[in-house]
Amino acid sequence: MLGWEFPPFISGGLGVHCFELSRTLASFGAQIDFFMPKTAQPVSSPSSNLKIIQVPQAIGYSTAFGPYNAVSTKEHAKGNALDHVYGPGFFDAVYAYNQACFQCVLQEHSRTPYDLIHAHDWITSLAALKLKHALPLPLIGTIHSTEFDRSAGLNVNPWVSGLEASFVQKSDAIIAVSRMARQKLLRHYAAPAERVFVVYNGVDATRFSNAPPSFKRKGEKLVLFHGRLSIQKGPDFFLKAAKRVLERMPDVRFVVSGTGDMLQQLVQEAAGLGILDRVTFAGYVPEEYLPALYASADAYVLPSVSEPFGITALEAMATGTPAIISHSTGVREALNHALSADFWDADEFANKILAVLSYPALNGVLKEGAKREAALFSWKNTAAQTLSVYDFAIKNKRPS
Amino acid sequence: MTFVCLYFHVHQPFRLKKFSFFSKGPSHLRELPAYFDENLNKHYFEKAAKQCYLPTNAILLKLLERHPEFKVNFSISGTFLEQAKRFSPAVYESFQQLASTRRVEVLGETYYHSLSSLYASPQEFFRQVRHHERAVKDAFGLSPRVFRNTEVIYNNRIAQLAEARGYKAILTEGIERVLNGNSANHVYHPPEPSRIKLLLRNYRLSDDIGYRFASRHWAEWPLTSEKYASWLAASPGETLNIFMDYETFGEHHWRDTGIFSFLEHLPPRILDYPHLKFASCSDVASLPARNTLDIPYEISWADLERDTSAWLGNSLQQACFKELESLAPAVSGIPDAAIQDTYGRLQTSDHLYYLCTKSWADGDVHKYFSPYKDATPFDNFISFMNVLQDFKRFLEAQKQKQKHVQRTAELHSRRVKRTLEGPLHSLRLKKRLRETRKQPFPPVAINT
Repeated sequence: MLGWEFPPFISGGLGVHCFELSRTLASFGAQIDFFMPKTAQPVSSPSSNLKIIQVPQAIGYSTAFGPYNAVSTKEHAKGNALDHVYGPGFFDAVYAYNQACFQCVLQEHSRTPYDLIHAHDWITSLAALKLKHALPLPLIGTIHSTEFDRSAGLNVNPWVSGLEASFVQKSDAIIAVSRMARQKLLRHYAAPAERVFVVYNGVDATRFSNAPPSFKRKGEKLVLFHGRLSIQKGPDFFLKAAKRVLERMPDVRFVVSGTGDMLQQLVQEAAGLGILDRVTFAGYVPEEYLPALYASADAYVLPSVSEPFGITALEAMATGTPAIISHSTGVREALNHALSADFWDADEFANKILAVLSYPALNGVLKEGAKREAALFSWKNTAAQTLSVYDFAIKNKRPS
Repeated sequence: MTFVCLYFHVHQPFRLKKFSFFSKGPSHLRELPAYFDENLNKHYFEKAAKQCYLPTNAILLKLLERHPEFKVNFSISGTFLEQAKRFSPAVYESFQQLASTRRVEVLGETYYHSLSSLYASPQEFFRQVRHHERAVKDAFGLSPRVFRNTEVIYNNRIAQLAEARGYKAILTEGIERVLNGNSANHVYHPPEPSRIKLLLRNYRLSDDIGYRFASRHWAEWPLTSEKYASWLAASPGETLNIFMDYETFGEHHWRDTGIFSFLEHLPPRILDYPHLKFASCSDVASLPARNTLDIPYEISWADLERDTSAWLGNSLQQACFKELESLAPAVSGIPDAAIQDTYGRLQTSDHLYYLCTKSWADGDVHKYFSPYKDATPFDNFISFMNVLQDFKRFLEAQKQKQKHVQRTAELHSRRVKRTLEGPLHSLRLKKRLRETRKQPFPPVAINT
């Protein structure tokens, strides 16, 4: 399996997915070598079936600069970024990592042959496509988000989208994280429909379901945004909605958790809206505090412009926090107990936030439904469905 | 002799506009109708008029002309009559034509098709029943004598309420759990001291038309009028009460299912059997009661549960219902027709029905009935609750206004009284007269 990040070095859904998927597959008895870049502290494996290979051992690159153009991990916060090793640019780093990864996989394959290669996102696709060419192995690709999602359709990087297109077209099977995401692959990248499967992400309910609301102040309503502060996630729409909510309910606290390239702009915007005293910019929140943060919120808001899945909505719901998500969030298609609105419609988001805060009956029904519904998304299901996609790829392998 | 009692329920709600926390509510009485979505209501009414009301009324009228033995019963909500007058006078007139044959009985109900029968105080319920009686009198010149509560919701208490209004019979659902081994094909009494008659829906025969008619998975499909008439002929008992929504014809079952020709051919086929006789609800009510049925808990004809869970099954619905009930005293304190009417329209049970979260087979039915595009029950709740909160605010403002007017009027009248009756008044008058006489010119009012 080719990846880019692994706990504790994660900046988004990709890292969570790789960790939970490989861990669950390993628990099913699959032997997995997980390839990822070198990090400052070595990453440890949670299972004997799962070998983590950080390539190459000599050089490395900080996963702080994830597949997303944002800086957001603890490692970076500590100043451990290793970007000097690969050279100055993020794209150079991706290129170098893929070259090294290719060599490394060939080496390992000659020692103990693999059955298949599973690569995640465009960021590992260079190596994946080269391996597909060099080895007679089926290639499975998971697309967690496309360049069109990350850039919200603006300033699409042609190199990245080109890579994604050939990745999607040449793999033996492609996993999309929602029906909405699948449609996008078919539309933007002319993906072969019969080879694109939908496998939803999961949520580790045990981690979230009994979290204490320890960040909640007594008598204060708390509304949470959690995610990278990038144009894709729509944090600016969150602030606009906050402004509208505060017009009606002046004592609500809004928490913006996460970092990203929009941070400065957002602080300025909050100041401009005159709500800086009601908005807390929490910065990077370490994974271990996340469940408590979700549980402390009275509402979780995800106004993503384009979100192929939206694991955070499930995580919030698993703690019993009502989620209000944009129509353009993939997981919405599988949820009954989440409220939704158009990402640009700050008034409607505010309307729904106010309703959740003001009407106990609604709050109660959503809370209970959210927990129940989130529990349906387990990583076991995800892994089992991924296995059946593997089966398909093995049986329907294209010529290399 | 077995009665065949056909009864159709006709109703359209005043659907609401989407109302957000940021929507501007009415600030004046004349703005109250702004809560309701005129265009949407017009759209649904005209669609139903074309698909159901006009063609079905035409068929019934023809049948009434052709067969002097044919009789049929209707309950028509007040909100329907209003919309018919406004959106489709042809529908309104065709119902009047039907009623003028004198072989169509119109039943009494709450004007707004509301759940007011379940409020702790019966006042609002009686207001709506009286309002409906007046509307039926105005429209058809008839005085209802048989009562049909919203969605045939029934319990012992509701029977007492209807009896108190002078009704001689009331309709409800004939389900096994209340029949206790009795047959729905007879007439019953509620427990003493009530003497009102109880007419029970034969749900099997009714649902054969209402639900199963177009179902190709049904062993009896296709249902012909001959077959159905033979079932009626073979049924035991004194009366076969076949009750259903009028929209069964043309809306629930589209024209291409053959529902219209089924309806057209049914009465002659029934009349082929000499022991079957069409009956009005009043005819059925004249039968002697067979037994006493004690029904302390609400039953209705809705869903599989046949209870009130379609409107009050979840906490969202209960919250709105409580809110509605709690507004009654405030509304009755302001004797204004526009306010009372708005309050009534908000109580229409459909608004609660759109909040239903039952899943499985029933869930699909609810989806079909939700008129708001892409809206979930949660969206509908937010919008409805926002309207109720805004209406509450409006009532409060009106009350303040009224208080202010009253207070001003009181002060004014007190001042006038003091001036006129006070001991100084006559003195002042005399003084002014004296002064007037002294002046060489008539006094001129000077504004200082």
